[in-house]
Amino acid sequence: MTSGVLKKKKSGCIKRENKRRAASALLVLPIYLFTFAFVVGPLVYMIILSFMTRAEVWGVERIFTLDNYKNIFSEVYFGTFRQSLKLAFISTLAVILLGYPYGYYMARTSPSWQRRLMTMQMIPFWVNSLIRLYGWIIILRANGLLDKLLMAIGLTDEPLKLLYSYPTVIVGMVYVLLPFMIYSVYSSAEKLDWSLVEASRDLGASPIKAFITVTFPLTLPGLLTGVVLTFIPSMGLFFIADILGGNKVVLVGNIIQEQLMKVHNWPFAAALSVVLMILTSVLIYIYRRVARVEKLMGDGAKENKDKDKEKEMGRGV
Amino acid sequence: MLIEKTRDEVLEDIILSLRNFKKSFGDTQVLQGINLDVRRGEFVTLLGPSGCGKTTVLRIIAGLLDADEGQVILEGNDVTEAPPEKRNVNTVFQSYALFPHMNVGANVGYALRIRGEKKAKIKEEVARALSLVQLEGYERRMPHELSGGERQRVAIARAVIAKPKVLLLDEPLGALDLQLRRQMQIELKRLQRTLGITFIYITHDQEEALNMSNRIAVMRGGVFEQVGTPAEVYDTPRTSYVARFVGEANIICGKAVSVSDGFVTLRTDGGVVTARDGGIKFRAGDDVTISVRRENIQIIDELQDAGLRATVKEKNFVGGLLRTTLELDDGVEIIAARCGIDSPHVPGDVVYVMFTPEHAVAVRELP
Repeated sequence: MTSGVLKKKKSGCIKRENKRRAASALLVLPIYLFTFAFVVGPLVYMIILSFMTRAEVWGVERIFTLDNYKNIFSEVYFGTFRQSLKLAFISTLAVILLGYPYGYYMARTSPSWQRRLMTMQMIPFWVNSLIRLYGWIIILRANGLLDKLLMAIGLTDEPLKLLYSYPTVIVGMVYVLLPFMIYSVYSSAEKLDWSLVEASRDLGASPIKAFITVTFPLTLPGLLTGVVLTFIPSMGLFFIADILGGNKVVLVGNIIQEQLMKVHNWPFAAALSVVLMILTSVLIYIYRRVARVEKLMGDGAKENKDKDKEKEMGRGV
Repeated sequence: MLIEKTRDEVLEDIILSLRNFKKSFGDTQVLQGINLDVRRGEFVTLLGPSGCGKTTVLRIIAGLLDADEGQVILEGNDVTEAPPEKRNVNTVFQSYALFPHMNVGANVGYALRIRGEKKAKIKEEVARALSLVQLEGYERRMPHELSGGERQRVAIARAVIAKPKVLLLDEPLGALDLQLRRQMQIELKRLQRTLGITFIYITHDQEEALNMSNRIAVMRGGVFEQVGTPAEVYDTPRTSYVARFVGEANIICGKAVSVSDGFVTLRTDGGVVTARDGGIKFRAGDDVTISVRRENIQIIDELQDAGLRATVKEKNFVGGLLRTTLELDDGVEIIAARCGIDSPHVPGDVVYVMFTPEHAVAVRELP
């Protein structure tokens, strides 16, 4: 009899448990619906689209083909991919060189300076990035502000053709993407336990050696986050190449935009996007592999601290 | 009391001397004139409550912080301006500060690697240092895989591998539980004897200080109130603060009635008692503060030749000792401790508190 009562109670518990589970599933359902409708759906649609054929006049015909992908590896488009990668690489390098010291210094300086430096980074964000890029045109165009300044102080005699060149596109990329690097490095450097650097100095390391052996490895996760946040967008930010590069610099993003909006070759645009996506996924995968090692050290330390406490308490008893 | 360094003391093998350190952070003066001579192989403890500036002293010795004034002299060389890596001094940090991205072997061998020693030699030295702290074979573990006590040992091994002239230890046992602390106290002491390295040790735990040190510097508000052997500090505290901080002595105040050859007799509201004068010159009528250890207080029912009237307030049995809290007539609280579990007195009893003059000492009352 008693066991029967117990069973009843138990099954009641299970029922309640199930109910609760159902309720919580209902609560998270909107998130799944949203993700499906706006992320998974379009993605699948894009992948399917990339295997279809372009219609003669407008739209898409449902005929399976691999031509879109073959097309990408033709000399013209493959060259664009190479150029994009190169530009992304150079931009990222420039962003690292500028952003790492800035972010690191921001983390190390006094709180009041931290606020100031942060505000300096924030203010440009209040203005639309397109408008900011047009600002660069005013500065860099022939007979623009920079030319006038250089001629006024007699460094140059005639206007330099600065605008619509490869370096200018890099300047634009760096300008737009720099804050991401600064914040990534900052968040990582801010968490750095300064006593580790002191310990390394105490053990005989010069400031430079301490940086190489302790500070840099421990801020590497932030740097890597910054790299991902810089490298990936810099392959696709077509409007920067458009505005500052004229038609001289063509990136993958530019071709996608062109194929989609001007040529109306949607399947090809889709195929380009898929390849770009695969490329960035590989990059993110590499990043996560590296970052996981770092994370293991960081989080593991905390977890273990708690474990130790238990261990030691156990030993104490 | 500290003395200026003389030629004799150079012969006495002074390894480190701190001369008149001063340090302020903003408007707060953290250190106001720190002087200390440390002999080779000595175990010196800086004892004081948190915020008294003891870590600041250590950081200045290590070179991690610059003093506003004063000098650090290591083996006769003025290293005041030298960066930390140029001083032959290593630190065991309070937080251990083990490099989380290196395994134990790399952590311990860090100083040698930075110095550019050969790999084989580093490996050998690391193994030796680890066996010294009884962590043989731990080279490949990561710091986060270790328990608190093990991390502590790694931090010590890392700091001693380069054979520093002086090892600085900043509350190294602070994060450990009581049992482990006691065990580590013994091990640290053993290690210090084995290595023969001079230790400067920071703690706020007076028991730890008394247990381990050759000399204790009791610190308060940025100055050393007393520097002496554990016995000196315990038996003859120089100030009422030292008396209270080290061993929680009872403090009794009164007016001097008579002075005789090293002893002073004072009158309080509750009666007359005699104590050693602690080297202070008293005249009749002066204010006198004396310190008496809890275990030296006797409680008697009838007044004999000297004693103070008191009322029993409370009795507790703590750590094998019976602690009786009494209140003197002038409201001062006195705690008496003795072995055994009970005494005939009950709260409310009026009794007399007495002690032999040798067991009480006059102390200075600093602001």
